[in-house]
Amino acid sequence: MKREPFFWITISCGLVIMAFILLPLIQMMSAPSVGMLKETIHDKDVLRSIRLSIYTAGLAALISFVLGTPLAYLLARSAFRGKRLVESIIDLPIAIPHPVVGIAILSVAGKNHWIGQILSELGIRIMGSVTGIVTVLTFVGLPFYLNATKTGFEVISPRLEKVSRSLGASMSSTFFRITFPLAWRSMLIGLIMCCARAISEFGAVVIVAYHPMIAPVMIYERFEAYGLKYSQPVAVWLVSISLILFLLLRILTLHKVKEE
Amino acid sequence: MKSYRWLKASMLVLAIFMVGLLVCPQAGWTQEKLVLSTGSPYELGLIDAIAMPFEAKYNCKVDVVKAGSGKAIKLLSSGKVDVIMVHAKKAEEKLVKDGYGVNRRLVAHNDFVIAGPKKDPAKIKGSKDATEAYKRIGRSKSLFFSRGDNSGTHKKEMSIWKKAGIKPKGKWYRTTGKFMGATLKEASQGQGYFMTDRSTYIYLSKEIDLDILFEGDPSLVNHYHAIAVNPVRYPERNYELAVNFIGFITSPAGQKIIRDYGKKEFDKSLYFADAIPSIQASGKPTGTVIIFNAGSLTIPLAKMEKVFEARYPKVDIIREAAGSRKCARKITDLKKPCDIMASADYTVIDQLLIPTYADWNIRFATNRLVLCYTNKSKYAKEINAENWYEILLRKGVVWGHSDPNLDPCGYRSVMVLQLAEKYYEKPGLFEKLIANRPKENIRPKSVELVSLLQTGNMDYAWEYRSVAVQHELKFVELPDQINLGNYNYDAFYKKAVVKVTGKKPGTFLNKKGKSCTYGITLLKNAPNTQAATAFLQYMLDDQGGLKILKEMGQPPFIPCRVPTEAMRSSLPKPLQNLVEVKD
Repeated sequence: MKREPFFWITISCGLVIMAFILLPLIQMMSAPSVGMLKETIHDKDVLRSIRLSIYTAGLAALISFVLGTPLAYLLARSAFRGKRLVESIIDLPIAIPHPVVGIAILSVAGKNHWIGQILSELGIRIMGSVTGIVTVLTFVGLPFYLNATKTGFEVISPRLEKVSRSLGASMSSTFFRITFPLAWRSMLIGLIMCCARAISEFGAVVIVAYHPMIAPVMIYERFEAYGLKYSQPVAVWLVSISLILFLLLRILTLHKVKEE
Repeated sequence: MKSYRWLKASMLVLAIFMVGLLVCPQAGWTQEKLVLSTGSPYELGLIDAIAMPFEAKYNCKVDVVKAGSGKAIKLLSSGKVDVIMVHAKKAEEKLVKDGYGVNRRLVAHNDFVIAGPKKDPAKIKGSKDATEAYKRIGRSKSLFFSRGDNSGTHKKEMSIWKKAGIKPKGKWYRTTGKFMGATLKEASQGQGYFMTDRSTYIYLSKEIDLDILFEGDPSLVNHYHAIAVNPVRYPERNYELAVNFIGFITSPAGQKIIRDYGKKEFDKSLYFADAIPSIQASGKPTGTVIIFNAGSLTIPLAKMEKVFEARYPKVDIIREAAGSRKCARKITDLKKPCDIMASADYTVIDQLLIPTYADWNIRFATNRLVLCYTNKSKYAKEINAENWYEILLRKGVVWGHSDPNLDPCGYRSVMVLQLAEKYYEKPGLFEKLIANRPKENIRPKSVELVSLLQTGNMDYAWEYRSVAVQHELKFVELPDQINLGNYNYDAFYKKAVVKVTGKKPGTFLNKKGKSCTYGITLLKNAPNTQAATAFLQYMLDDQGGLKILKEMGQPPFIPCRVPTEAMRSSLPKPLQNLVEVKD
């Protein structure tokens, strides 16, 4: 069978993109020696920072899940004046330069702002704390969760919900028994996206919290203090661990699909 | 390769033969002859490249007597040759003083490097100077080759052994009595060390199996001078042609031949042409100049950039600010192109860039530490130079400094605290202060603390005075004994010692207190040396950049300083008059 030229164009573009993404990554992943990698993973500071990265990113995803799901549902189901505006506001954190995010959060959290004053009276500290890191990560990760989940809700036909309601189910029980089981996969994808975005954040975090160090900040610190040679192994570990985590999540979800 | 060279050579012979056939009958066989003596420049083919156009221009023939500097000088003083090209400063000066040589002119330079087996058995890599490298070779009794022919190279070698305090004798020390190239080849076969000039190394790089293991010591630079015979002493010699030859090799055309020689075949010039300062050679500077600078220099440099670009509209200055060590890392690890690097701690340039990436380091300004705050800081109304440490000890006061491992301002802030304990005679003050400064209050760069102050996330921050002035912050000035700004107190500053991370995680080194001194250098492989030199010329002038520094709260050194005369002479010519030698 003779293929059309278009087919070859798609193939070659695909190859170029694969090479573009993979080549630099492979180069970085293969740069450190095995010995260095071993040494690095036995370094308590490195382990702690990777753990903190996963923990804070997970927390950010959880917060996005709890706060974001109702809003995503609202946006998917109802039309109201100003909906477009709300949607563009949700997308804002994607467009703002990362350090600006950090500065913006700090300027609200400082004593020069009434919110900062309330926070300090409550004993909550944003600068240099895990709270601060989670705040930043949620800020940058939220849009990814919201958008994925909203799309997930939109593809579920409202008729199903209407049937449920007409049979006497309440709005909340309709959501939990009809909508949620159908949309959970896109919500999971949203969570992964949100998590992935959060785990990779550096610019905003380093402004809000240098210590305690998350992994990207540690990579930066290692680079500045010791050079490329000692920052690469940390990067390799962060990338591999997050890759494994995300792969696991994806495999789990795919597995379920087949069972169904 | 070999056959290619043969082909080239035979074609050359043929061409010369044919030109000779054409020219000689007309010239009536009265062609003049110039006798030149030199070593490596002839061995490496540079003289051939120069002689051809010279012979054509003056209708003459150049005869070369291959001899090392020592022998060449003897040949000239005994009237055997017309002109020499040598590198043996003291002997040359004596030759001129004693009236044997005249018209001594600087032509070009190259430098010595120590080549050795890839495994580097004596571990000379990373030696701080040539003497240390020699010491390591001598002590480990690693195989070392010497020409032993009293040439310039051999003399240089012996002077370094003398400095190193080692008598080069024994099985490990092998004398060849041969020329540079032959000895280098022997060293390669025997896998031993040899100090060769870089040009020969490049020329033979394909045939030898040795690496350059040490380079960059400013005392290893070879300046080649051309010297003509004294016509009063030896009237029979061809003085006129000798002077014409010196004129030719120091002319723009001759210098271009030198500059380009080797570029085609080896991708590198074998010699650096020196006779004409580069700025005059190619007119007004143009293009971009990339400056990596310490964060605390950002604002004064921005102002200098404006003034300079107004003066040189064709130059575009690009600045990248980061911690001083990071700036150096960008050069050494990331190999980012850069022309000028300005560090808030001049020792960063000494430690990380010299000798591989830079040759010299000019100290140009000072600074001192102050404690910054704003109107809204806690106890802002109370604080002064007497009670500042009491306020920093109070509960609920948030204060911080930058990371001692990344930013010189960071370890200096810690030093101020240590010095305060000694100066105010309050034992335990330092520990107590640090206990009231949680780790979270540390930032990578000191400038980042400014935004924490301004947003009210922090009450007090340690900064350089210049940063405080430039950001219009309020600040407490501390006594000279502890503010690290007055080098007359260096002996006291030295008592402060801060442990910072070393070259590898888990290793540490101690930083001793020292007055804040800024250093600047021009990178060896700067993409735009010419414009960068012009910028430095403006920047280090007391009516130019230094004046701006002064206005911005950063006391400059007028004039700027370098530690040794040797370093001063390695500066680009236009900068040499702007600095003084002061340790």
